[in-house]
Amino acid sequence: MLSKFVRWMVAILVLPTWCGGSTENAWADAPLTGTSPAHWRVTWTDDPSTTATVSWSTRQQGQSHQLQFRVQGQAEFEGAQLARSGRFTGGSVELYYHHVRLTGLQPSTAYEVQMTSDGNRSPLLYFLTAPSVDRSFSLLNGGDSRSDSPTRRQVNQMMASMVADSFKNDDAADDVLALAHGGDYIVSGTNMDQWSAWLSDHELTIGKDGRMLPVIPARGNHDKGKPFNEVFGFPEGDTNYYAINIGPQVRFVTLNSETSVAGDQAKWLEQELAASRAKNRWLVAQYHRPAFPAVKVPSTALLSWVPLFEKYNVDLVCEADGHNIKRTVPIRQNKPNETGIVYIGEGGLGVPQRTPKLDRWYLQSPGMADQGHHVFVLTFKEDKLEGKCVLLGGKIRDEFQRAVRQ
Amino acid sequence: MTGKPLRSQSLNEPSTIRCGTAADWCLRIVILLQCIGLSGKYVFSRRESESDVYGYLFFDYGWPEQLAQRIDDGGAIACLIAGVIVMLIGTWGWRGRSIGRAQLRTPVVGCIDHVALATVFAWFLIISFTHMLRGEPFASLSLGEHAVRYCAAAALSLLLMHSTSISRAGDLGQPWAMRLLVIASAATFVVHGYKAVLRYSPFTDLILLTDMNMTGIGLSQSTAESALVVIGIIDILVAALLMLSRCAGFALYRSFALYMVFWGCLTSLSRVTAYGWEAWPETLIRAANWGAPLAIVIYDGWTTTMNTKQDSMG
Repeated sequence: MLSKFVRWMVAILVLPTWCGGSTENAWADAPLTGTSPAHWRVTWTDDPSTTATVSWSTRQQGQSHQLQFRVQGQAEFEGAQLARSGRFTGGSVELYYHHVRLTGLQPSTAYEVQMTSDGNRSPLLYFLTAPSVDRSFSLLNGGDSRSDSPTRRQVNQMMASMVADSFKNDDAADDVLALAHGGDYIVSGTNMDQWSAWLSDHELTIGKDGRMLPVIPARGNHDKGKPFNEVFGFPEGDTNYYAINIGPQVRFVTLNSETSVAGDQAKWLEQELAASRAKNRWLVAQYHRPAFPAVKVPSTALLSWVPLFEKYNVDLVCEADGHNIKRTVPIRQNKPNETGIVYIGEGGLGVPQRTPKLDRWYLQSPGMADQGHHVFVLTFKEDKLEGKCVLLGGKIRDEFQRAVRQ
Repeated sequence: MTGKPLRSQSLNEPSTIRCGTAADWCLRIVILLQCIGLSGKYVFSRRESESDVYGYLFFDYGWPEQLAQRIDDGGAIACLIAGVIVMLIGTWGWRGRSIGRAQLRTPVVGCIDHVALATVFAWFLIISFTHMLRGEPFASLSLGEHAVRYCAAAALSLLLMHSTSISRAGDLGQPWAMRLLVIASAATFVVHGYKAVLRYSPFTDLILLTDMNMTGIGLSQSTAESALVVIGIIDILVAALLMLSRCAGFALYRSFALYMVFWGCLTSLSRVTAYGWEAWPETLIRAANWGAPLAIVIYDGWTTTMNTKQDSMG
């Protein structure tokens, strides 16, 4: 009886994925077969001006998996690098991951890549490495793409358009370099069927010209188990907290709210913030479970991380998990304070939206909260950090600025 | 393991009723506390949020948010009302009669009592079940982990039925209510123990944050995790020993139940010591973690003691 019920539930969850044919990208809709490379993705977890992990999946194990890459515009590939491959952990679904970690790349450079598995080639795709010089740029930030596949696909397509549009003008500040994902990609992190659907949908973030949108991933509470590390190319058993510089003046810290928050991670965070605050104009953190939630109870981040954010004057904190839109007032010592930290986010990349609890003190004006599928655009400039919340469809729901801390 | 037989086959009726009454009282208090905790967590406290019932109906089933919200709040409020009713009926019975309410309960009051207990049982079970269906780590174990929460109400209901059967038919067999509490307590401890052995990170943080707030020793994560493994093994052992020794009829099992009372109380309180006073609903909702084994100790302990006295007098 129970198994029948669970099967119905799975069918209800998966059906929208099959029916989501309103989107037009044949890549994402193509079924995985044999050793044809699919689920193309780029992940940034180390210095993104010189390093990137390019990954893909195949239905069958295959024999030979390699990545060819070259600076865009060159006639010949610089070389081919063999992939680190393995079978995804997660039930009976047979699916194989392949990761190539590219190092020694040139900053601010477009790299063309082609994935090859047993002679089957992916389309020629490309991604842009992060700059090594101090320049303005933008990042996308969002979370929670776990249980509304049709919307997830629409948001992914919107992000692809936003990225493409951002490079059409001469304004470098609006160039979107990557997506910082705050976690909860799917409902059940050990279910490879769901991961496979997410990875297929993620291909919709690739532009029509083949531009891939690198992901800076955080782990969410639904992303339990081994597949998360296997999807994004982390080593097995990795703790999933790390910090990268995107350009010389933006330090982006990704934390893992799904492991011990108060232990080693808090010590690491303190060391990280102490070391990076003075060297960077902008210091931003992301993680999944909110310290200042718009609907849920505060996570333990409130006790272990928020004091450190305040001690080291972090400029912006991106949270997820709540399934709504929020931007808090600047907060210091649990009170509104102009010098405090602003917390944004709560997740709307493809999940039904909750009604926020507007009576919470930190959501009062000039803070805000609402509901709607969305993504945040963060633009890092020399004198200010601009943020805007873009709803599905393109309407801007919220805009804010943070000045450079003195 | 040695020990004397749990109890003789010939209990006298008043002693069993008194033991039942004391265990009854214990369970009523526990049920009220956990209902206050539940309603605080999901409706009334400053940090109220939604349960997995809401999440399941809204996210997984696509019900309108407002409807899911109302069902969620309604369940919690119904539980609170039911918890108060259970307590009031207990209070009325206790003060009004000196021997045992079982004989004196009117059918209407008895019916209300059972309906209130069924409400608490059903809602806690539904919350556990919906949690199990969602994607959180270890969610698949939630029916076992939360067994004491919904079994406390079921056990009290059985206890009342049993008391009634004593008065009417003289059935002096070991109550199913206590068996249910033993199984539920063991299940809860086994699941908690299993999570602890696997160094479940929220448990690690409970230790570290309690240390940070209360003792200031400066425990490291590795120390906390090592302690968790030991704690987990003890939890599992105690649960197994409770089951085995009680099945075998050894009085020693009460020591294991007493340890469960102590440890259940300590871990419930750890929510407040780690997260601060605002986490009071988390402490209260776990009242059955210590309340269920306490009811076992009270019921069996009192029965055995009285039995021994009567044997020596006889």
